[in-house]
Amino acid sequence: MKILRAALAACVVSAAAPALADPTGPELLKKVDEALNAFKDGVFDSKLRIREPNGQAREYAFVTYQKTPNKRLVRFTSPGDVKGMGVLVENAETMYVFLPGFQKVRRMGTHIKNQTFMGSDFSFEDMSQLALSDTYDAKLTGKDDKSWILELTQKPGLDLEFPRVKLWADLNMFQPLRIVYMDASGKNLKEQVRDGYKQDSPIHWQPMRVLITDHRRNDHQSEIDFVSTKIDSGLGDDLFSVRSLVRGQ
Amino acid sequence: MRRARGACGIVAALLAIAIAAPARGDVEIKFGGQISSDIRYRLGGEEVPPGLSAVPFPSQQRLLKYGFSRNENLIKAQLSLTIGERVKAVADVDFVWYGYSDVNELQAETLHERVDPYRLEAHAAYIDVYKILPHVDLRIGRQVVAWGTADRFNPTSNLNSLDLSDPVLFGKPLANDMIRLDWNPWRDLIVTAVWVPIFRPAQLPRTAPLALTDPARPAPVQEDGIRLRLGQLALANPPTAVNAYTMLPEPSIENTQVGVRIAGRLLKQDVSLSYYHGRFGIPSPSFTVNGPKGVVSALVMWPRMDVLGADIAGSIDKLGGLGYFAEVGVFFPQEITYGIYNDGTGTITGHDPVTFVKQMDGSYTTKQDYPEAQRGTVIPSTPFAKYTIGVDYTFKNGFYLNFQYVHGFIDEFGAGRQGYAKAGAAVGDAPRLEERIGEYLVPTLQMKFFSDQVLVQLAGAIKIPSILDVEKKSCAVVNPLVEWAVWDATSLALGAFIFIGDHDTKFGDPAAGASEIYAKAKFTY
Repeated sequence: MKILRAALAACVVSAAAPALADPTGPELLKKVDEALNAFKDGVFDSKLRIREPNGQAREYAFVTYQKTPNKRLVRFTSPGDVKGMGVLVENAETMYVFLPGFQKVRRMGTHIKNQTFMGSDFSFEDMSQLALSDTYDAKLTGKDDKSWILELTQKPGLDLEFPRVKLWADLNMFQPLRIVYMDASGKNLKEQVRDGYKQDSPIHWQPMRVLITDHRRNDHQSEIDFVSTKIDSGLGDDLFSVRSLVRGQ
Repeated sequence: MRRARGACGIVAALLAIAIAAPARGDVEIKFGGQISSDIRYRLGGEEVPPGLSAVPFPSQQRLLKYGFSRNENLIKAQLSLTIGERVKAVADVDFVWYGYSDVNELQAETLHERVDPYRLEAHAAYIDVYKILPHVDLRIGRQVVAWGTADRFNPTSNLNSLDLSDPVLFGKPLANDMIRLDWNPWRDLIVTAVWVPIFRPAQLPRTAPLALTDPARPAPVQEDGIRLRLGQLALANPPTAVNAYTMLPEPSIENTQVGVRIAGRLLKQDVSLSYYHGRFGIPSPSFTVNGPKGVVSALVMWPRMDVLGADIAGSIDKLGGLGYFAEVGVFFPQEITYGIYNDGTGTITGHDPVTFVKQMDGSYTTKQDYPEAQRGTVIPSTPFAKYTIGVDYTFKNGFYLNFQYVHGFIDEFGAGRQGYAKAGAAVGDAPRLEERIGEYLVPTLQMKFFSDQVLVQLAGAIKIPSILDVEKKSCAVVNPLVEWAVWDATSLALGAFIFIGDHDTKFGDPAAGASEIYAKAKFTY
């Protein structure tokens, strides 16, 4: 009987142990990456609003088709000067732009990542799904009532635009709620807030609004509102081809 | 009665089909377009004489030394109709108002189309049928098929002739009626075949006739001795007028154009091979008839050609993702000789061929009787190459640089040399000669400010001397531009297109055009 009690106690202790100990930084970052990429494919109908310091705002509408891990096709639907334009990202090195005015698909060098996305505070990198554990080492530095707080440092040998990042990940969804991008000294350069999370598949949560503030540009702000999302509808590889990019004008 | 019943039956059947048709797929309609305005002022150009017609159209649009050279307003309408995933129809039409009147007689002033002339340009009117056969797409109708990886200077893109009427664009492909098949048998491999039934010539700039109608210009032949002899003949019998006529290819099966291209990816780089059979879009002088009273009729034709092309594009990650592209076209031209006929004074037959006989010392004598001796060569049959090599890069601050080395400008064709009349040259004067296929540096720097609302562009093309040029000269065109996106889809632009060079250089030649400043406004919807 003593043996049975001891065995039961051991079982309870071993089952309870993970719940009591906080996960490590790398474990949490892996969960964040998994949460961000918890779909095979998705269609995201979005509006990008760029707010100028003088109060003016410009708005772009586009549809993003995405297939994990890294295929992406963006088609602009408004305003008129960009309508019909398309961007195809086949992988990190292979990108194409279709300009309807020239009826031509242009292979782009990856230098295009240095451009902002349509003059917004989003870079082309921001527009791709995050997979942070490839480029950052993580350390768990805290926890509040809503989120885990992670400090990320770029992996040795890399030269990233933001060598340090602070990330608040939801306690349950593991989706980022806030991301602060910093320089090596820890100065806050850019900040992203993701909210309005909505579950659009049994395992995927989608933020319906992403607000980004660039402190280097006098706190210039850009916001993406997701009008609708459609997850795992079975997008074919054909869609992510140069041929498809031309067709979709 | 039976016939009426039959007709009713057919109508009923058609109605049933028409009503039933939408059930196969909903029509998705997309509509868009543009409203824009473009006003330009010419600075120090050479006046263009009216040419064959008493006055150009519209008659008020004269190219003065200083004056408004463009005053266009445009409404573009684009319509796209898609049925399911199989069929799409696309139309893209510009309505353009010249902004000049064509009132050269009082009757004309009573007609709307003469008081306010306009034109219509169809850039697209085609139907796509996807997967008409397994992995095969079909496109029929008016379209542009743009090949090549370079920016604007594409020696492999020859299916559409160029619209050269706006120098700022460095040639915009003119849509033409074609049948295009795309076969995608495996991954990135695409085989494209295009058939163009009717050849459409290039749209030349308003200054182009100067190249032919100015009697002081050198004869367009390669042989120095024949050019010299023709200069002497012109000096002895100076032309009183030069009129230029065309010999457009007949709409026959022999004059159709075809193109085939195989494109794919090799070692992560985009590569393609292509072949084109057809004609060069810009005409070449081919005949001259010297008529009575010194009136010369010059005839131009569009030379046949076969072009083998290859291109490559990719990204060099070790250089920060620098984009690169290279494109080459090897041209096999039809030989064009210069047929000269004398219908004027002292003829033997009334239509005497004027030909040449080479002497032991290398000079030429003239013959004016049958049978024909040697003609001058305008385009030799020697194959020649045109190529473009370029890189582009976006800096961390968002500035974009594109740099191209171009061997062979958009309008250059044929091996051999090109002659330019020197400033103030008289009939028969020796020209300055340079290699016909020239060397160019083409940089473009784009800087965006205020969240991309203001674009400042510095672009241009610099012609550098070829190592084979005897009298080496450089020239350039410069295109500064400031564009302000004042609101969503609305932009205002101020720019200039400046020609720099001596009279006897490519960009200093008045036939190339004259410097302009321009203001544009554009709204897209």
